[in-house]
Amino acid sequence: MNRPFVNLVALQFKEFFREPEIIFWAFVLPIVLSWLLGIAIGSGGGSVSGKAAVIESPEATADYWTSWIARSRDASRGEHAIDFVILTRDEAILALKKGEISLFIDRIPGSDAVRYSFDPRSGEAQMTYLAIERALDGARPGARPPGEVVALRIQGTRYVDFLVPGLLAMDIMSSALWGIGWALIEIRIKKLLRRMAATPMRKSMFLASHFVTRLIVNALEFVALFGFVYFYFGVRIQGSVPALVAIFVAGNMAFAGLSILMSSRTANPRVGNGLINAITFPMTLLSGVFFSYHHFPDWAIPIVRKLPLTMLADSIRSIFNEGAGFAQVALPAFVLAALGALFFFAGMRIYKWN
Amino acid sequence: MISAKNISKSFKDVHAVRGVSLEIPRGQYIAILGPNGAGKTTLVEMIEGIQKPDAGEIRILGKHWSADEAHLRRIMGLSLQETTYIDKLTVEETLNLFASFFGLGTGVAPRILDLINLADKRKSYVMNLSHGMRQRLSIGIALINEPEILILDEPTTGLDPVARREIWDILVDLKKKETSLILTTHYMEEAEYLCDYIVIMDKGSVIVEGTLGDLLAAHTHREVISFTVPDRRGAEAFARVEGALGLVWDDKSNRGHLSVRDIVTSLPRFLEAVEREKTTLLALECRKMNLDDLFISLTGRHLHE
Repeated sequence: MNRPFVNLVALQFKEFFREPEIIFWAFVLPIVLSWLLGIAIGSGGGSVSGKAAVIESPEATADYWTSWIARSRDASRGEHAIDFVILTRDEAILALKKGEISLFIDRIPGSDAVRYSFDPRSGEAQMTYLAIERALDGARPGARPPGEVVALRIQGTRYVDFLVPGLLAMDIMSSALWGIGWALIEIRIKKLLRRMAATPMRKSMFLASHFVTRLIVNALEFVALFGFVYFYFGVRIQGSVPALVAIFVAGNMAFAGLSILMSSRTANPRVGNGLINAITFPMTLLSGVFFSYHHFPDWAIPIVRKLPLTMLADSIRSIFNEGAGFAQVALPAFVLAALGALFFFAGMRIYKWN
Repeated sequence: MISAKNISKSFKDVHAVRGVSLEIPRGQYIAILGPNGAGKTTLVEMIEGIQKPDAGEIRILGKHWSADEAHLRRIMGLSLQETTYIDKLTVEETLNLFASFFGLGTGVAPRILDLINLADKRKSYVMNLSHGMRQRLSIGIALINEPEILILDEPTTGLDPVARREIWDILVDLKKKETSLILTTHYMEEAEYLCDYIVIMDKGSVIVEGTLGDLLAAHTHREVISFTVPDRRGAEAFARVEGALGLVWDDKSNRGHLSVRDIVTSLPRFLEAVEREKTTLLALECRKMNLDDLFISLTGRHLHE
């Protein structure tokens, strides 16, 4: 029996199982991603994890807050796992801008009631607020004065202020990986790369041309996205624009270099696709694009901070929201540029032209 | 001018080229003939500097790829198999792109467009060209630097006879400029029409080579009785008819190629054998042996396989 349908199915299975890289990307990557999401969002039945600051003042000392936090924890009976930090008001606003906390709490003078300050458009802050309130009410709702809510409108503390720099950074990454990495793989698949390599064309120039093209395209994308959020959300760049240009170029270098290294050997579209997803998905989830990476366990944060997308997103965010200048972004800009150069030369060294 | 000495190349467990040696003088048109998998492409890609031989030595105008790559790239024009150019680039833009790799300006493109007869398509996207036009574009790109050596890997495979003839015309015109040409093909008539020297390869080795005249003189004094019968019955008897030099039998088509010294002597004996074996002739052709027949008699296979 030699049925065409059976043969077609068998053919596709064979194709799949004879490509070890595809198996890796198909099976291992989703497991890794589900783990990452699990530790980021939590896996318990409806419990909420988050970070909140309590504001130290003459009326609410550290001791007051220590006992308040203990009461809150006892009352929650494990329904939430909010991490509290005791900060001054200025420190709390900065932490909010960096995404280290989603809200802060201060004591209403002359009362035992508390006040929650957060951006009402942030779903994460809303969840954290509700979880704390529900826990404090415990089994006796109404037994204590309810907390007030202050909608924060301070420039740089809104969720959109947190989100936009992350999106800009993610755009640079995605655009480089697809626009350079995928394009190079496609040219190799079309056998055009080997034809071009069989001319006196300088190979480093060919690759560098992809970087420059992408830098220009990314700059246009950056301006378009920023233009929209400037007018629609009132997002402003509070720090140095030249510093922003420097970190933008460095970020482009890092991801262009990574794209060239990534595309250096691949001639199979499915492997290329898998590689790009393997690079972009984890960084998109880990690097604080959509939500703060401070939700991750403490041991993971130093690792997350070393990812190129985290460095880029944090630097852009600090320029946008914290008024950072050259001094604050010099180190990440240097590291990103150096990484780009390293990836580029490593890619050049192993590049498969024929 | 081009000298390849005892070159070999393997890919994993496949011996693509086995100890091939070639001497190609300046200005000569040489055809490398062979069926798919004969090793033609691997051989020319080693001459083109795209692949490195595992063993042997290649010199082009006395230079080696390892030491003189930049120079050799400048004097060579290539058309590789299966290259897909950028879909949404126009013909003229594509030529200009490649001209720029040689440090040439945009003035080259109009000359090439005339040469490859695509001037009226200069603003067309590559994706909108026919297969034949794309092959002409590929040859145009190969000619952009006015190469001393032109290497075309199966430039007419898959083309209809008209499109093939258009490419032949371009190449015949080039002969006046003393360009050297290495052409791989599995069309015997293409080799006969265009080339002065013919190398026939099979399974990675050169099985016969020489000028067209030499090969014809050495082998085409024989004659061929080509026939088709309903089944294999009688094949052994046909191989034994008077004057028979050898029978190549194709089981799939039930066709036989019987090479004979003299058709006048052998044909009556062959027809008697047909009658004796009680079989029927479905087709019969008698002719002088050509290079196609030579290939079949040497390898037992057709060039087009």
